[in-house]
Amino acid sequence: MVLREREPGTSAPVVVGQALPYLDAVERVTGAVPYTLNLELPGMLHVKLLRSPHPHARIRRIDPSGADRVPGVAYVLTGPRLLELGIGTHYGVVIQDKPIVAIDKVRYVGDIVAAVAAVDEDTALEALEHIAVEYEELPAVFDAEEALRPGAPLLFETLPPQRQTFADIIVHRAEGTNLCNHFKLRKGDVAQGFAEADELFEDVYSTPAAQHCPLEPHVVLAQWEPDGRLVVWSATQTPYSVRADLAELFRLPQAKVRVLTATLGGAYGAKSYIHLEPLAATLALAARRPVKLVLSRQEEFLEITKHPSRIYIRTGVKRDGTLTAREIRCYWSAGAYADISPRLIKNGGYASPGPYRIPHIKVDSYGVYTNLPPAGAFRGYGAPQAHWAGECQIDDIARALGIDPVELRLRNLLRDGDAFATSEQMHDVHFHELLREAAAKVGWGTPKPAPRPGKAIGRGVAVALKSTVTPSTSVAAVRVEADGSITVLSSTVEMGQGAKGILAQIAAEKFGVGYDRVRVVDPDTDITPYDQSTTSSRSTFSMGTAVQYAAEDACNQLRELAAGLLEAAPGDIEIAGGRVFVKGSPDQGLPIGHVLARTRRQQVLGHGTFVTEGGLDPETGQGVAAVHWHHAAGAAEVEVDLETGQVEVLRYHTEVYVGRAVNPRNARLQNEGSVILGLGQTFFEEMRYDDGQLVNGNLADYMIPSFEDLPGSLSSRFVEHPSGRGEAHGLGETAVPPVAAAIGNAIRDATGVRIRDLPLTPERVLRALEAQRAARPPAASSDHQAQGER
Amino acid sequence: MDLEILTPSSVAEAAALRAEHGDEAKVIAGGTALVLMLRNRLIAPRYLISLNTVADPLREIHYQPGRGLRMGALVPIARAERHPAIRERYPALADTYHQVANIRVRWAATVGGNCTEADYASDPPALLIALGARVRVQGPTAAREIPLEAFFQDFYETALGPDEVLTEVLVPEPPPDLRAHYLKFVTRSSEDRPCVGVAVAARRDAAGRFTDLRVVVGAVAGTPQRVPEAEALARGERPSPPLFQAIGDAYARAIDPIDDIRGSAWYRQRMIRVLVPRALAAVTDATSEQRGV
Repeated sequence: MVLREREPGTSAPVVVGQALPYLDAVERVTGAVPYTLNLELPGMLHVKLLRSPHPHARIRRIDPSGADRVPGVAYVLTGPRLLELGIGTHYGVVIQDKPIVAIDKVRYVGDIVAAVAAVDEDTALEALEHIAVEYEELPAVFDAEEALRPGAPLLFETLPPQRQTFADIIVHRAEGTNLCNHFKLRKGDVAQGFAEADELFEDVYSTPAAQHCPLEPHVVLAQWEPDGRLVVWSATQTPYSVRADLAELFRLPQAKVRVLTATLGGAYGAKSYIHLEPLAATLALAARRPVKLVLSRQEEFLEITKHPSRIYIRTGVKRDGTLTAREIRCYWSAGAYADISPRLIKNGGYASPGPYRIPHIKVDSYGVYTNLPPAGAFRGYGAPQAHWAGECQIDDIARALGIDPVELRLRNLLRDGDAFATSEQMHDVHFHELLREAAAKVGWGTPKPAPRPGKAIGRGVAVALKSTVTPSTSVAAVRVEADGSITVLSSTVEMGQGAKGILAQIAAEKFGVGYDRVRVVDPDTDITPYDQSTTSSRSTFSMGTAVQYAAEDACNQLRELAAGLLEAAPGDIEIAGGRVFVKGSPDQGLPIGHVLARTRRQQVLGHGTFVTEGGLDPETGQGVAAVHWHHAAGAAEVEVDLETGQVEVLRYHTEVYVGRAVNPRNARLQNEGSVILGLGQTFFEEMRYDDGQLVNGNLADYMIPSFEDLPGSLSSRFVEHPSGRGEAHGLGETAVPPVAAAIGNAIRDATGVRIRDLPLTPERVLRALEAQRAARPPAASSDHQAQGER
Repeated sequence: MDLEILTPSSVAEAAALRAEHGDEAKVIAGGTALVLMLRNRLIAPRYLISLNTVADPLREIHYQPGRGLRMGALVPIARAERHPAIRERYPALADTYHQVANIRVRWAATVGGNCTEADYASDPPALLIALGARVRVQGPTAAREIPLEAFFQDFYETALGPDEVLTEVLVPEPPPDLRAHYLKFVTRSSEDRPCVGVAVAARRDAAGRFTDLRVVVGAVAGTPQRVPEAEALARGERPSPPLFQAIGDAYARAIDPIDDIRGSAWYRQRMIRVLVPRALAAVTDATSEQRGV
């Protein structure tokens, strides 16, 4: 037995609002977290994948016989063999468009053509070289807008089947096109809104594909039990969703599929919904042995990406800065398979008008199949792309009208009671406070520091809002053990965000016990109750509430049991400090464990279910998009090197609304992590393709930020509800969406140049500066460009 | 893919193994570059000749006043950057090593491997050339020294013979009036390889006039670039912004830069024009005057 020293204070009764260390901090630092990546099963096979070298091709012939003969190879899966197995062949969380291995066609460079299960990785790798494939190359399309044009190469000749997985997802598709989903939002009459405007602004903004780069890659182990049950260990953010999809594919009752998830080594959205579980389970079925499938770093880049976007945004405004209308077209490249694009393009779509009172709004958001790696959830979920467009344009509008950019926003920002783009009435929104505070933190309205020679200093702000998936459901169970310690059963996935600690803290508070008296069980669909997903910054709120309900249920049961022992009515019994006592007599009660022992119950099981309601009209996008809105403001001060285009962030401050911070220390870490991720995507992260072939699919050629890249000053503050009893918001994503626009606006402030394409590389900045110098004499930072010059 | 690790017990034996296996063998030291190439399947050697079993003293750093610095090929970059004699006598070299990648890479990567890899986008080679460094290489029977400037021949190509192993990096004793500086310019993360790197080594007389100037621009072509005609512009001149700009312009005109993921040729050309004068300003800046090399 290893005894370890924990942080002091964790054995004292904890409360919500207390700054606690991560529940698994010691394990993380000592490398003792049992990641799925480290799991081995007796007799397991290892898998390697043959991938398409072509962006779009028909498979004329595939011959695996050479691979079959390689000693140590247990099974080789190809399209024709898949068709003979008598299981479902295609999967997808919303649209069943992805074959377990390619059947007739490949749709991107990296599409899985065949899989080898062998005694070790080297053998599997060697066998790949003995699979003969004949391709007939087809024309390919890599841009979402081009893919929507008539005559574009079609990824799917007929529409793949679709099912209603989640209540909020509405799918509009059209046969004979590459449209994956079209989200429509219609509020008021934009023609009228533009007629009422004094000025119109029309711009196009774009963002590139980016990669999540979780430290731990996608990993799945699959094993079939002798009784026909399927057991899957998967590094997934969505064990229950994976279970449902596996049950459907393998025609099993859900109760006969077990999905287990350990702590993930990072995810950022990359591990949401079904990925490689069907392939691992199919190989295990065919080979009759357990298998382990781990993606290499290069393969991670091909599995899932951030949606490249192009957003056309037209805004009408009165001379006093009142916004009258916004009309927006968003094109999202979904890549070769839908994954969660049908939802993401909706959420990005309704976020795109921004957090403003605008009477007339029209949004058309198109998710489009292209011959690129699939795109899916990525921290921020469409909001970063949407606000990059909207928040840069708002800044330009302010400058054109001669109004301070903060002031223009303050005049239009949503307040409690205002109608959002979806017409839902906003409640508990705090944009004005967040923006004012963020701006003040970078010295807005005060003189700027003198730049060094050849440099220019500027400041920028941005605001953003992001929904949380609605409706949604979380179920939790809380067990009070015989000694009074607490077991929380939850399918929320710990992926570095600290969810386990948050849930432990919420449960511990109810019983008045220490953090170290609570265990939170890892998701196991045989044991832990249903949860929709660990996505959308929903766990603290949704699962946190379910855990709170379950703990209250358990406490009520304890009160009933103790009533007889203490000769009091259950309503008069309190639970605190791990003890049960009659109100007013804390010294005369019993420890929780004694109640369970003396009533011979041994254990109490509390149950909690939390369901939220909402939904949008399929034709107008009007309704309730979110049970509550994550919202943030970001502010940056930058120094631009006018000779190199290099931008240094002198200060960055983020303000987020949290309602109530369960663990302020964790909250701060989430905010800082969000900003750092946002800075990488702002300045340099970009997956680059050459005819559909990824050219920088490794961590030497694709950079992510390091601690050396942090701004001179990086600060964050969260705002809590003044009542002290606000709804606890998740913070996984809130601070991400404003980052790029706040930086872009600061560069605009410093130099007068507006860059509309991410990332903001030094070269891109220098090209814009040179274009500006060529066009006219150097502009002062306070110039106001008239629309005609834009 | 069967990869056999060969474990020679001496440098001569390692050289003989190179001669024996030719292109089928690669020498591995720290492995930070080689393992990436293996993983990305850019190379597929049958043998890896490990230098880690070699008994010869390849991990030592020797500095002798008047005779200069000798760094064994297997010295980790992080150790060179910390070595008291290097920090004292060659501070620009210590700074340059400090700017390579990140601390984890620097403890694995070696000063010798850094040279033999001959990656065009690397920091130390430009400064080592500016300091007049040589490498010592050993074949099965004989050893020789090669100036680094001649050692680098093209992208990932060196003058190392097919039966030779690099054993030492040699940096001459810096003259008392030598000042050196390396300016690393990255366009992405600070851990990135350079988009452009400018190394400068300058000597000036008591009146402040340049008596010797070397400017080496790295990461812009297959090998670090020197433009002697441009260096010559400084001879007998005092530092001045117009002089530095003239040298920068001459470098930008003379070099035909590459395009890669860190910057286009268009951009690199402009950056040479901007960064050469900046590096010259840094090396002649009064505040860096006390810093020595």
